[in-house]
Amino acid sequence: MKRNLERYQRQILIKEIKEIGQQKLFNAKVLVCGAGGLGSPVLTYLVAAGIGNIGLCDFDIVSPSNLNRQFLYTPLDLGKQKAYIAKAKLEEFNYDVKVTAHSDRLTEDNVTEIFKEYDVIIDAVDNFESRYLINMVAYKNSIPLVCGAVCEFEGILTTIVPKENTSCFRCVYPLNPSVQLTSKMFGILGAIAGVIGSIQALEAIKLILNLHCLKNKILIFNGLENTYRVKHITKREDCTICMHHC
Amino acid sequence: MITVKINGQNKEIEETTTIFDFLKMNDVVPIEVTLEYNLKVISYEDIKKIVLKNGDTLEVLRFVGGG
Repeated sequence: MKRNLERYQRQILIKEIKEIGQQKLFNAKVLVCGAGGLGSPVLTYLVAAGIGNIGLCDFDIVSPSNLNRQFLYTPLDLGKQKAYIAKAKLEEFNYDVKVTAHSDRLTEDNVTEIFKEYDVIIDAVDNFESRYLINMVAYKNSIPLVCGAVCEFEGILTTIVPKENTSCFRCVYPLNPSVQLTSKMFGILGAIAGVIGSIQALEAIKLILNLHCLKNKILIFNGLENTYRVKHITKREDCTICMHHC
Repeated sequence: MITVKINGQNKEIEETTTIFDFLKMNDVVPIEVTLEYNLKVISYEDIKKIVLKNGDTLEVLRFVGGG
């Protein structure tokens, strides 16, 4: 596909990108799991940057309570399938990008088949069960993964590179959260999802360009106290996911 | 008083403070966090047994899973 580089001129000026880096972005294939509060900024910035092939997974429909943060959708989209609405809007935003919508729920039966098409996976889902599944399958198939999550004024982010045998999401949260906790509904503020989602898009871009990423580290952002903390993640000897990866 | 490192910052606390006491004093609900005590993840059953000592490190990482 012949692309007009003028659209990307301001990022091509960056010495770590240049035209050669932009070409890498055009050739990259990134899958975003979850097209919600995190997925909205992640997808928007990846499309804007000219990532050539973007997949998005979301089985959900647009509901009124999504609209405080999921800016890919408007009240006119209520009741419609997110994956297809998001695909249409993103492709309109940048004709250079091919967007593939996956509207099935990610399960053990389909996740490997979907993941194998992509160079980078972004975890932007809203529950721990899916996060553990995405982490396991990305690690098993040696696909880099950028995990982001938000809750009230807090957000976390880590980047996992199985080929470099880094620590994984299970190392961050080795114990599953309790049933009481997973069934509890937490608040989410759009601006916090915007911060973490933007950094997730940035991490994906840096992975593609082979630049420094948040490997073996977790970024903990507290929007109430205005603090960013980067903590080293200890690779756990008993981790069932990353300790047995070759 | 003893000094322990909580989430990367030194804090002075009373001797004989258990992890459970510390969490309670700071309004942290144990099931809502992962606890790493001296680089080892601990279970909720242990938090009443472990008395914090001078120089200990404790990481309290909230379960953050929304998107």
